[in-house]
Amino acid sequence: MVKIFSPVLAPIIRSRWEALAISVAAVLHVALITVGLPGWQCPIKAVTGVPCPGCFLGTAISLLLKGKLQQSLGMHAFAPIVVLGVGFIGVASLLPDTVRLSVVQKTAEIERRTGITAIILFGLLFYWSLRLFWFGFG
Amino acid sequence: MLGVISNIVSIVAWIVGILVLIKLFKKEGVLKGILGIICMLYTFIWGWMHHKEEGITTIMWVWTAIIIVSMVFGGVVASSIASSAAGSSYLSLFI
Repeated sequence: MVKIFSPVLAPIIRSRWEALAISVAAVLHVALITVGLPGWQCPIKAVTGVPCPGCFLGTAISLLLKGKLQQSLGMHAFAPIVVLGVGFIGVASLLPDTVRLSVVQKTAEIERRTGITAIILFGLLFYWSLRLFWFGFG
Repeated sequence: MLGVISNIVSIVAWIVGILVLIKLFKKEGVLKGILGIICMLYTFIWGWMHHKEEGITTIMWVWTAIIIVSMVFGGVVASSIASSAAGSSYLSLFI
């Protein structure tokens, strides 16, 4: 139980550079997709032809940011959650050290107590398997 | 010919991605490993953040080169399609 509820977000935002790199990469990926240029190409889908659990998230987030909520959720239901997560990481990366470390501690505590990150990650896998075997993608 | 090269490049990207993903699972545990599967971009970033201690610098350089080639090639194809279809001016900002 302890291992399943181990923090994921807290260690990410503990390292300012890692948090900054993730948020910048995510913004860049969505920006490229939005203007019609190729963003990050999923290596899993490129070889197997099967979309990975994170495929279509970039497009879904792009639609969400354009205000097309229904289309966004149809593309990938976890888009709003990912936007919140990446936004949190981005904001945390810009905080002063003392404040950020306090946020890290509180985030780790919440993650350990509630298992929220584990629930979201396993939920994403479950959602992906539903789409893979029943509902399709896109 | 281009299709064959593209397939080889994709397979190499997949292999190096999986190698880094295995390192991620071993070092950071199941949850971060799942995050890495969900978002290989995170795996890529993690790989660069920990390349020295994990001894995967060469693998990361290979993966980075493949990504750059893919993006440039994809951008060239996208721009040629767009310019032949509509002569869109905004692309000139990027090329």
